[in-house]
Amino acid sequence: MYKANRIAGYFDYGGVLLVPVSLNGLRLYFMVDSGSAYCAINQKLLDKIVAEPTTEMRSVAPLGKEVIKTPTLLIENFVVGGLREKDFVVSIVDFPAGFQIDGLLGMDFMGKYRITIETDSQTLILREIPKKK
Amino acid sequence: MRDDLKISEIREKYDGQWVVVEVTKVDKYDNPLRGRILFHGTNQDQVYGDGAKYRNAHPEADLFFFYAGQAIPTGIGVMFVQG
Repeated sequence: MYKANRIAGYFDYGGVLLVPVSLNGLRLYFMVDSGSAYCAINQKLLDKIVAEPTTEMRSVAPLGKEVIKTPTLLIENFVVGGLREKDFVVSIVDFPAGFQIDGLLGMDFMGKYRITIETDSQTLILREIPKKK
Repeated sequence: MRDDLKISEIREKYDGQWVVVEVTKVDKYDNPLRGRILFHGTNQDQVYGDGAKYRNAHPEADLFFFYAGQAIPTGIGVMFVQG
């Protein structure tokens, strides 16, 4: 059996799942977004997180908009359900007015695991990927 | 009598407000289960700013910043795509 980590969250309007994450020890709710290549943090939080901006700019393509470049932030400890990524780069984005979202949990983190969304328990499950023999 | 609340109770009690919570209990996966309210209000900059100052003064504190309410406006279906 491979280890599974369960991250209990909650469904918001439209059935999107928000789960707790930790950025350098500060806990926030991020929206689970398997359609997003990158994890992202709301620009409004920049001065609240102890982290270093990087020189890396990422090209992102918000649906229905022009491709844009976003700045990035280096997170020394990015943790979800006890699963840690060291020196993890997140994009810095603006969310539309009225959206009270602190960040997105994208595939650059979730893609390292087998992912399941348990809709009845509003839980994200991350399982180790078995090593190929 | 304990002065902390379940995270779900905080989300109900402070519905529509931004909160900063000191986490008092986590589950086996280190997900926050209970916490004590430190700051709350409708001004995100004020509440998160107070939380950031508290964090600087108490770096050992396990803090959880969040919006205790509906994060996605009613009637809007989210479709964010990056890549």
